[in-house]
Amino acid sequence: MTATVLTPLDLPRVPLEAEAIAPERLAGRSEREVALLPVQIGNATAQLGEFFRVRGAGSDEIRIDGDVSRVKGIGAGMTRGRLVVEGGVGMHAGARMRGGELVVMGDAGAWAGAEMVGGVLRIGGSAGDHAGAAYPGSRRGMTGGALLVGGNAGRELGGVMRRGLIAVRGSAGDYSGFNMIAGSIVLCGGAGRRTAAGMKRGSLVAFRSLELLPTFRYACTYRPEFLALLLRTLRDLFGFAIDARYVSGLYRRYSGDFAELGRGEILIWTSD
Amino acid sequence: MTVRLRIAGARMYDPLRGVDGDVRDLCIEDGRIVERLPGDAPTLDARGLVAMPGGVDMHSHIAGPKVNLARKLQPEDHRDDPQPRTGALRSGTGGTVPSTWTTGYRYAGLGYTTVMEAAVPPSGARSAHAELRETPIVDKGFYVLMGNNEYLMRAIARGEAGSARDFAGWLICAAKAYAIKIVNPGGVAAWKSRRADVRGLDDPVDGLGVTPRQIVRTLAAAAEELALPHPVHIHCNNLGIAGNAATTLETMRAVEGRRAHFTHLQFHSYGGEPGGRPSSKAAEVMEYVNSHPNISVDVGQVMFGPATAMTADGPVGHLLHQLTGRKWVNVDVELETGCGIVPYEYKDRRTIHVLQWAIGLEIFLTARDLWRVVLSTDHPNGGSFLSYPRLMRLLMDRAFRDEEIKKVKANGLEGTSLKDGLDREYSLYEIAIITRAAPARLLGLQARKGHLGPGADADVALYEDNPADREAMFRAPRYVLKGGRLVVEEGQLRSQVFGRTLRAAPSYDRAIEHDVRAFFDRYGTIQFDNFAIADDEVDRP
Amino acid sequence: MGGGDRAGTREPQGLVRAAGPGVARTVENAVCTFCGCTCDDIALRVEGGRIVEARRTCALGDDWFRGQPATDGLAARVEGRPATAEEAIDAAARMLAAARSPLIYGLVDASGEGQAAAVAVADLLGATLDTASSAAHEASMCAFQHRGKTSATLGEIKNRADCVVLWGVAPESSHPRFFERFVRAAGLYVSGPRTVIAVADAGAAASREADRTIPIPVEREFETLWALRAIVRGRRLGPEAEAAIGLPVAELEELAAQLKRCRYGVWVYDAEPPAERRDPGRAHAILALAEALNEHVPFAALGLRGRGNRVGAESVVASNTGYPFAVNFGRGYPRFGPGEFTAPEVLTRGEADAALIVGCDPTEHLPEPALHVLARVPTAVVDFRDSPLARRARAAILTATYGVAAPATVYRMDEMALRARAALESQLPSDADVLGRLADRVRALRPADGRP
Repeated sequence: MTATVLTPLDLPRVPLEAEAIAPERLAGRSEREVALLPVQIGNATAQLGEFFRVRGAGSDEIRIDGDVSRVKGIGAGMTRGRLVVEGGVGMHAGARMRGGELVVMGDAGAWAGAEMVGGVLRIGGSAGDHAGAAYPGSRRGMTGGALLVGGNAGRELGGVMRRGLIAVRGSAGDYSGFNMIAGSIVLCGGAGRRTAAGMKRGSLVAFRSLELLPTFRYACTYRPEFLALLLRTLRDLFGFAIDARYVSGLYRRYSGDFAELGRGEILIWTSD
Repeated sequence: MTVRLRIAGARMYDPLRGVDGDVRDLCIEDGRIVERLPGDAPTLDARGLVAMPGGVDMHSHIAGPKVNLARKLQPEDHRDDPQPRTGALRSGTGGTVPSTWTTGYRYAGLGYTTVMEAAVPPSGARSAHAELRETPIVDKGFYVLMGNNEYLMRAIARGEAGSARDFAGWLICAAKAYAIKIVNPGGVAAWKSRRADVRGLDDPVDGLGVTPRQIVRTLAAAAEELALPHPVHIHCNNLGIAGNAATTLETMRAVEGRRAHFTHLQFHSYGGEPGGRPSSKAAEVMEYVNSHPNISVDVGQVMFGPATAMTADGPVGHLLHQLTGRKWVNVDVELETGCGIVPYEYKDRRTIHVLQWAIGLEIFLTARDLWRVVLSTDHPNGGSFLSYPRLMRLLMDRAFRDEEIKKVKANGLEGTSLKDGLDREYSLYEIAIITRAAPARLLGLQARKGHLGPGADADVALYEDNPADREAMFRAPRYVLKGGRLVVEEGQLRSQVFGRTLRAAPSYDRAIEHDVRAFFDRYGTIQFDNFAIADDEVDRP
Repeated sequence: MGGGDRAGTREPQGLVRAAGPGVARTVENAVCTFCGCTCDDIALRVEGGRIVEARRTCALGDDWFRGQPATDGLAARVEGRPATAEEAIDAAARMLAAARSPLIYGLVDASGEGQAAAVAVADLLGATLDTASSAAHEASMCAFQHRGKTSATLGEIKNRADCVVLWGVAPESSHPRFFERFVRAAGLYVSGPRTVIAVADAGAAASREADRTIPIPVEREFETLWALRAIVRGRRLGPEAEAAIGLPVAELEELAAQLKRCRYGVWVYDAEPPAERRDPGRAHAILALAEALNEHVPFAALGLRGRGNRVGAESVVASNTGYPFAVNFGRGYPRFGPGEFTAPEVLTRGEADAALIVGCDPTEHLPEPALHVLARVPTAVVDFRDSPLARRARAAILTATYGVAAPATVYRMDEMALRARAALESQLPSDADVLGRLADRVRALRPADGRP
């Protein structure tokens, strides 16, 4: 399949909102029709073609060959196909996405993959605050799919997460997994403070040591079988490199958060 | 300039005047309905349409501190339901707790033109009026909470029914309210004192020497003696608790033959043991209602889907929070009342919700005197007012109802008469009673609301008759007039007008104010002289 | 002429004695907006169109009332030159209507009526609307939106609370009459002394009003609250806990036991902490703790709010839009975006191409980078204070001071609305009047569908 290629032109300071850029909204449209898709610029609507050079008819395969760090909502709500951004993206990229794959080679703004339901969101650079988290007031953050971050993550990563998988290669900010209900978070490079505060269920895995809240209790040191499976999935299915010593390593298990239900766990790698 | 309009050829359903589907012209002049118009008056061709008076919602939650707190609490409730700005109309958001502008538009969009906010603390009257000023199109008002008022309970405990009455009169005037509201009499006071509740009508309220029965009886009498247009409006003790039907019946007896309105009756018609599984006591409760003309009710139907529990009944808020684990707001309101808010959802797969749904329908379908039974969902407690059209179809269309009954979790229907089928179908005339004529009359507004006779406000809803789908019919009226102005045309909300604030102005012995002032000075945190709502705080300039 | 002529039919409200300019008179029951207590028992002596004496005020309130400017003089400016209000409103409307991403900011020193009019302007413009207190209050609001709150109006402290916890606050300096009005006054259900416990940063001075003070390491504030909640909920903390809290667990256990023994407790905290303490979890931890305590005894969390009508700003914006602040109308309907549509971020990212400042001094609220950007954005100002910003703005309209020289609905920090009547006469229009006229002008300039 030939990819639809969008080349960002001179983007204004006033933020552009372009939820239109998602495979299922482009597919089946001619090049001209794609250029006519509506985008929001401040308090006015405009057309995609005013801000992007469009090459190729709309398809399930989209490539943005430039930086769109000031464009919000790219791939938000997408359900299928593949969208590759060869640069950074603005806020809400892949938010509430249900399927398909969104690949961001640069950094992502806040709320990347917020409340995502399914699909895969890969961020090659760093993610902003609230990646995979719940929007204000929502009962649940991410409820499915995978969010993979090559760089660092901001604060409240995976806040109120209910299901799914998050992995961060670099370091995560404060309050990672804040109030998480269930699901799995793998932190390869450490985290800020108050990790997994308010966790009800679920697993947060860290390859480096963490500052633990007083409401987590040491349980045991062991080689968790499910974790080996999870890490192999990350490595083999998602191509997220994991050193073998973590896959088969020994982990200290802390249960908590006892300020809440206390059926969650933090697993901290200790040695191979 | 005189504005005239003749609505020609509609079939009229106007129960207050006994008109049942007759084709007549409706003559409107300067916002009111008149006997006749000159032949050259502009005409709206309404042939084939069904005309009803504008709907009257006598129990809803649309303004005041708890409503606005529920708005602030739930951005997630609004996010996916925006109301865009169009033409002269303001933008806003919907969900179960819409913004003020959207509330007015959406009520008008259903053909409702009068809405009463059912529970405002006296100290919340100011913000309630401020929000009602921003609630367009509908005429509106509110009931002021008294059932746990510290001053009032003390007056009752001292046996000073006259003081209690005069205090109630003062409070209605000071708050510019419409009626007296009781919520869980004495129970909220117990909640604020020690996170407890009262259960029986004769349980003492926390060392105050007063009982729920005394509160109910005194305020029922006060409403009568103050000649308020609407009788005392009662939310009984034990809302939502198994076995509460006994409390409800006892409360009905406690008014001793005086007029009283019992609100969201569905939530108060359960059998069983407290803490146990509830069952339907709709038959028993309705037998009492049917045979006691002093009692009127609104149903408080639950509709499957999202809701927001918001109530002055503090312990109920806590109970729902515990049952659901959802976020919870509790605000203890000084000297007056409480406030509980919990987002909620009714599911047709949950036995208890199905039971509640069935009990509401039982109440509707076994009511003998529809002039005393009013349609409500206790918006947004049992569901949004936007679900009224669906509720109307459930009442009017047995085949539809039977299909819906098949979809719900069957064990929720156990012990209800819905299980064996109730074959009643409401007619258009009967729907016009429970959504217009009856609430208008129970509110004492029958001179100008709830009918289409000369002298009435020209609040009119015109629907395309659709016997096959009453929900579609009532969801989108073809035309709606408010005070003679067309606000909905061809099913679209076109323009906005501002309705009036309805309020009562009873006479009372002003000597009471001296004592109330002293109470305020000692225990209040607002100056007595700053408490009352000024004239310029009501309605838009 | 004061508010007396506006009073309801039943009772003369603000008593005005000896009316007429130049003649001394006393205005009773004036409302002070200088802190979230919103005291409404102030007596003002007015002489020669100025307030010469304010009784029952605290030091803050005294400054507020006596510092009111004389109400004559300049009405408006366009491009820094004196102009009529009409001209300035027109200039502001033209500038705003031409903008693609206008920002309306402030609202904290405005009447409820003016705030409502500002929302109307934002709606018409498709603007971003934010309150000046959002940056400080955002964490508390988001915590509230996540889990609710168990709270009470101020009178419940007075009438019921036998246990008051001051969590990192010293209301005697921020809210000087807090103790006099709500804690030391005899209440309906409490008469004797009440227990006042201060928990404070070990390095700072605690409230002088406390019976005892528990110093905690400020960087462990969240951990302390979190551990306390677990203890209140009957959990036993592990041996690692002590190091994480920085306080003996036994001390927290004792505190928890004491709190659970009280009859009615109040947890007083700063809902608008200074920038260095804006931790996203702090308010969350406080609200969660108060909620947990309610399973044992009534316990209210009370967030102290600062000066002006900032609670009104949130309440009015919420009633109109469903959201308390950080609202964007760009799509023709309100959207909520803390961090996205909050003014410091909008400005710092350079997203605003015009600004309307209403009822606030941005230098008090915005961080330096945002102020720096604001200085380069075409700006209009509607405020009762003349300021350097107003002098260099594209257009500035001076208004009568809300609640002092024009009647105003204002909200106390417990969200209770009060009516402040005008003690002073003013030739200047009210904020609501100016913003209403601005809305009319904008409506005429922008077509009905909101598209330029």
